[in-house]
Amino acid sequence: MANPAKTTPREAQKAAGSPRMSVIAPAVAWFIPGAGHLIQKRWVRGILIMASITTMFVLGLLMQGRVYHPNGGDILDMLGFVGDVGAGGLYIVTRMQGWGHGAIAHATADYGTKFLIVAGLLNFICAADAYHIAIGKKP
Amino acid sequence: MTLELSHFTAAVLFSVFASVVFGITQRNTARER
Repeated sequence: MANPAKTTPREAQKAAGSPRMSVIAPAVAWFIPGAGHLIQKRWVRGILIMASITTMFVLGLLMQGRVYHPNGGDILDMLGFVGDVGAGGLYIVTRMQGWGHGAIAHATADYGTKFLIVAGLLNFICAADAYHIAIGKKP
Repeated sequence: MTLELSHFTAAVLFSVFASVVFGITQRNTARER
């Protein structure tokens, strides 16, 4: 049942958040997983997201997962790149360090590749969540 | 350093991290907190 209580314009504006935050929060959330929630004072959620996505990405690298490049030449490689790049700063650091070449010698290396992609895709969801908090759509 | 997890361990870790993120992001109301 809908809440019949009226909200003042000031309360509505506060719930909606600032327009600047609606741009900054998803950008920061993409670059540093969990930071989009942290800058909006959602401490527990931010730390859980940061720990989950960072750990997942690092485990993917340790499992010798493959990091996709933007010009892979194959459509599936491009989709893999879209997933990987979702991890933001983690992906940039990985590329700068030259990590993530993958090793076929390990049976679970393919799992590592999937860990890397899914960590990036989950970070996209978290960036969208940070945006929804910034515009006041979610608590 | 190389990590060689079993298939089961990899699946468990995957599900734990995915569950944490979805548990946080797929809530819409304050009551679901």
